[in-house]
Amino acid sequence: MQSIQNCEQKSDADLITLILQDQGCYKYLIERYENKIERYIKRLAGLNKEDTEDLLQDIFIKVYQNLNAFDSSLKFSSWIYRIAHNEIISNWRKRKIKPQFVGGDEIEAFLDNIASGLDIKKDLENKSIYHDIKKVLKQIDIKYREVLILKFLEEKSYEEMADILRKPTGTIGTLINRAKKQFKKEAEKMEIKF
Amino acid sequence: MKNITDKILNQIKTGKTKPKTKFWFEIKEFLIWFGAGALVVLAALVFATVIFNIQEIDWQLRPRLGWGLSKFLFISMPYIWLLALIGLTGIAYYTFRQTKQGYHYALTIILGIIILASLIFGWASHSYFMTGRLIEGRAMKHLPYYNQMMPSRKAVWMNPEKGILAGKIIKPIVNNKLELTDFNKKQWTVVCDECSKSPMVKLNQYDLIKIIGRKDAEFVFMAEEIWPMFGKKIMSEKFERK
Repeated sequence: MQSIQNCEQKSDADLITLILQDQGCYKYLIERYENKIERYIKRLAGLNKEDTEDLLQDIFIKVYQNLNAFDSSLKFSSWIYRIAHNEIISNWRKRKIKPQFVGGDEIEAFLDNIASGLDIKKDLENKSIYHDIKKVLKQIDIKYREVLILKFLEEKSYEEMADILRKPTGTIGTLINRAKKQFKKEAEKMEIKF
Repeated sequence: MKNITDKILNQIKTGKTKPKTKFWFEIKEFLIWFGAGALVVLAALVFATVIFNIQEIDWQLRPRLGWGLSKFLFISMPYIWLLALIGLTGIAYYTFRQTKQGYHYALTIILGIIILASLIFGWASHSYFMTGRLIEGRAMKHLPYYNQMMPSRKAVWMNPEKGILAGKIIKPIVNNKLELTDFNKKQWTVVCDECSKSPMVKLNQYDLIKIIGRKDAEFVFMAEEIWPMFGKKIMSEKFERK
C-alpha cells in the first residue's frame, strides 16, 4: 500500500525509478499517459478503435522495455511521445497505408489553432471552413502533418517537438514553415480559398 | 481502456516483457560512438589517398598526350576515392545522428565537424606517415578490379602509342629486358638499352613503374626513362644511367 501511494505521488522521473523496483507501479504511468497517447495515435494515424488499442499496447510495452534508456535531461512526456511517434510511423510502414487524419473530440480547437497559425482569416463560425481545413490536412505529407499536430493540437514547444521528432530545433521551425506552405499549396490545388 | 492496462501488466507480470538493462543501452551508445569515430578515421585515410592521388597527377605528360586541361583533369581525378569519401562522410553523419544527443545539431555543423576532422587527420597521416601512398599502392596491387575501376592516372599512363606506359614488373630485368603487365593485364617486353632510371627504381618483381619511350613493335616498348609509379619528388631527382 505504501508503495502504491508512493507511486501515485511521484514525478514521472521518480516513478520510473520505482517501476524498475516494483513493476506494479507501471499501472500509474500508464494511467497518466494512456489518454494522451491514445489521442495522439488517433490524431496522427487515424486508426480504428481496435487498431488504436493494439498500437497503444505496443507503445506501452516498448516504453517498459526501454525504461532504462530514459534520458533524465528530457521531459518524460517528450520521451514517451517520441516512442509513440516511432511506433506509429513503423506501424504505418508495416501496413503500407498512409495515415489518415481524423479529428478527435477537440477537432474544432485544433482547427481554430491551425487556422490562426496559418493566418486563415475567415469567419470560423462558418463550419464549412473546418471541413475544408480537414480536407487539405488529409492531403499533406505525414512529416508536415505531424509537426502541425504537435504544434497546434498537442501544443508542444519547439524544444519538445525537437526531442520527440529527434530533429534540431531550427529544423522544426523550417518544417512548420514548409507545412504551412504545403497546406496553402494543397488548398490552392483543391481550389479552396481561405 | 482498463482492459489495455490489465493486458500490459499481465504481460509484464508473466515475465514475457522485461526492461532492457542500463548496461545494454550503455554498450549500444558506446558502439554508436565507436562506429562514428571509426568512420571518421576511415574517411581521413581515404582523404589522405585523395590528396596523394591529386599530388601525383603527372602534369608534364599533358603536352605529350595533346589533351586539353579539362580532359586531362577529368581523366586524372581519383573518382573512386572521392565517392568513397562522400559515402563514408554520409554514413558517419547518419551514425552520429543516432547518438543520444546527435539530433540536437544541425546537418551543417555535424558535416562540418566530420569533414574538418577528416581533413586534419587525413592531411597529417598523408604528410607524416605517407598513408595515401601506402593505401594506393596496396589497392593497386591487391584490390580486385581496382585498376579497372580507377582509370584516372593509369589511363594517362596507358598510351604506348604516345610513348607512355606503366604497369607491374612480372620478370625482373635480364640483359636489359624486363617483362611487364600493364593495367589492362597485357604483357609487354620493355627494352632498356640506354634508358635512364630514377635511383628509386629497383626493377624488382612486382614493382610498379612508369616508362617514357616509344612503342617498337606489338607489345615491345623501348624505354628512355623509367620512374617509380609513385613519388613526384623522386622524379625531379637526377637520373642514373643504366
